[in-house]
Amino acid sequence: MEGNLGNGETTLLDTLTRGIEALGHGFAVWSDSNQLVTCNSAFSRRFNIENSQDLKGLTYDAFLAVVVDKGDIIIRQSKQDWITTEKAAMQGNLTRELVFADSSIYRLECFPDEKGGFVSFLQDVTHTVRNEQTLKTERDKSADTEQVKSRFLRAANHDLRQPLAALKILIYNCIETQSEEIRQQALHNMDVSVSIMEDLLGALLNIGQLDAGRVEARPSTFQLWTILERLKIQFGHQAEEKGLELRVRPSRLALVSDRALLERILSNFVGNALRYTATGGVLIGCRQAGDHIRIEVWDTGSGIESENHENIFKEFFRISDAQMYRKHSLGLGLNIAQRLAEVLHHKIAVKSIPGKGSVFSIEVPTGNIWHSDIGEPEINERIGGEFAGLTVIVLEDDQILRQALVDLLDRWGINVIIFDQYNDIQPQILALDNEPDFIITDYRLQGSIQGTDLVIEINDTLQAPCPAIVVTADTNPTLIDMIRQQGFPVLIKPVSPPRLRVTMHNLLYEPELVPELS
Amino acid sequence: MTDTSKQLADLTPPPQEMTVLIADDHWVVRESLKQVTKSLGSRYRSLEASNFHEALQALSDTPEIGLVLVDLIMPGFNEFDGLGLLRLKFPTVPFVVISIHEDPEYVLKAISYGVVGYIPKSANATEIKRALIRVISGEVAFPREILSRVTSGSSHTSFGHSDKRLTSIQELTARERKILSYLGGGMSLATISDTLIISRQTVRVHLGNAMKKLSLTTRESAIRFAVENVELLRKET
Repeated sequence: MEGNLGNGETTLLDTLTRGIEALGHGFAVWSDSNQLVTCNSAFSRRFNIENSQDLKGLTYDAFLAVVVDKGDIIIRQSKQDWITTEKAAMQGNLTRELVFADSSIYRLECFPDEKGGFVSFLQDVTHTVRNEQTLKTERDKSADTEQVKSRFLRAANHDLRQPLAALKILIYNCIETQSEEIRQQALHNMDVSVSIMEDLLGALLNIGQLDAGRVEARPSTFQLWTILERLKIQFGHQAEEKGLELRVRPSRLALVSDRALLERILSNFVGNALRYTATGGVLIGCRQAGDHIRIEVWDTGSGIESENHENIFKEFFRISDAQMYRKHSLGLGLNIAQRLAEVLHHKIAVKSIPGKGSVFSIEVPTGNIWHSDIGEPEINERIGGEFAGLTVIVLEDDQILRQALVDLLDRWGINVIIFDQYNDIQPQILALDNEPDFIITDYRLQGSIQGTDLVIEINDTLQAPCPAIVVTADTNPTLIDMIRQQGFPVLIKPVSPPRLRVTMHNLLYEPELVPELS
Repeated sequence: MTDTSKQLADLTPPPQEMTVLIADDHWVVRESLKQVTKSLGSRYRSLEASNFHEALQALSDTPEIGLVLVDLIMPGFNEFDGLGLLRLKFPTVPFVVISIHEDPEYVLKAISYGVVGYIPKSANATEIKRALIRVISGEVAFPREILSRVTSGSSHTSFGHSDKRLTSIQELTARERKILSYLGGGMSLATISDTLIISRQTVRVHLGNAMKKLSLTTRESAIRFAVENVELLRKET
């Protein structure tokens, strides 16, 4: 150490200069007369001064004037004001943050020395500041979410507790009472309480899914009446109970939307309309507007003040007057409706006159009627079932059992073939129009014929042999094992229809699941 | 009487004895399904399992179980793995999936596992009962409103397998390839059944299935195909 530093002042100065250069941060020393004595290149370069020598001898004022003229520092006041502010800050030893045009942020600090001069220290703090800013935004955002969430939970908690408390009392009443009438009344009220809770939980679930972005539209073309019909069934009873008229104007228009989501929106509209209407009725209708259909739900209810038209679509919003009608609504329905409409890119709107009633509407693109499904796609096994179109031979002598089996197979869309006698079966098989795909046989047939033998005979005749199931009333395990050994799954009479279905399914489509075939 | 109970009383299940296994890890779900099963009449008995292990145990102990209602999500297995295992171990037992999932993909996947029904947990007692009665009567019960959301791009519009037409040798099962390769090598069905130590009916069924997959309609065409492709069939085995 002594060798390095003891060789006189030049070496010490060199070492210090090198050290200050290596620092990486800006560094400047000012004299007691506020003139720049020396600075490192990190300092001058940040102010876009190529040679640090150029700054030497400048007063702080002059230095500020030079750097502000370079235009690299973003200032929010006049140059002169800025210089005054910065100089005052220096004199007060205040830390400043300078924002440069390249959006970097530097912290400029002043440290006074003993003889009246001072040292400037310039440090890049872009990352720190930016991170802090991001953090703050995130924090604000999550605080908002938290607030919404806790408001949400408070409301949900409150609204769930009421029907729950009612349930407890009703259950107690049910246990205590001797009267059948009171019990029935209590049961009815329990049913209502449970459905209220169900609605609430359903709404919470919907909101959760919407929040998580898990609701996606699956549009198809369908006819509007298929939804209108369901709304009529869903709400007809409720309207009747309240003494309101629910009218649905028939329509044959086809539209393009997600059937389930659109129905949920319209259910919300109709449910609300009935809720807030005391006398009169609710009408569901639609009209064509260009390439769109507007579905409208009219009511003769209390109506909504125009200043509230926007608010009603917000979470938890309830108009206090209307709260009287129903206590358990969380005020989520319309919010869900609006968010679902956003997912579907449909426009929803409200028109209302207080005291007269309201119209809620949604605009849906028109569909080509020729592309639409015809009504509800009732799953018809005769046409679309997994066994539809197959030909199955049934070998069974008991008339009643055979008829039951034939009826079942017929419902599955199967073409059933039966035989009255089994002698000379081969020509009968050859005479068939369609080759059979499957055989169901009783084990013991008339004339001491075994069903398994008959199947083998039939399969010898067929071009493509077919699988068979043996049914028997005999539960002797030895016999059943023997039949299975021959490669036939066995079902015990009376045959359970779902078991027959699964066994046939396995044999025809998943033979690897059939133990008798391995 | 409430609406629900009125509607429930209107539905009549077929008169048959049946033991229904209810497999769900949540007692509330089991309890409600038990109530619905009870409402089917005194001939319907129910058993419960609260996890897959119990379900497997119940099925081995009680072969008369004629229907299983099983939750897709239960401790011990991934969603469809448990169902696959149950189907594999008890292939002749009809399964109905009960699930919180209401996406068409789940229903279609369950169908591909050979189940006879799918009941969303949001279904009410009437809907569950209707579904059970359909299934017990031999029909399938899949939620129409969910299936109707299948977008037209999907080919799964029919829930059956009737038009499953596989055309390449790779899609034959190992058994089917082996039997065809023997056939191509000149063996008779009787010799094949002796060689593989399986019954003639079994050989026939595999051959019949293979012919369907390959769209071969006559026995001669099957033999010709086997002879022409015998090398390929052996390689694939």
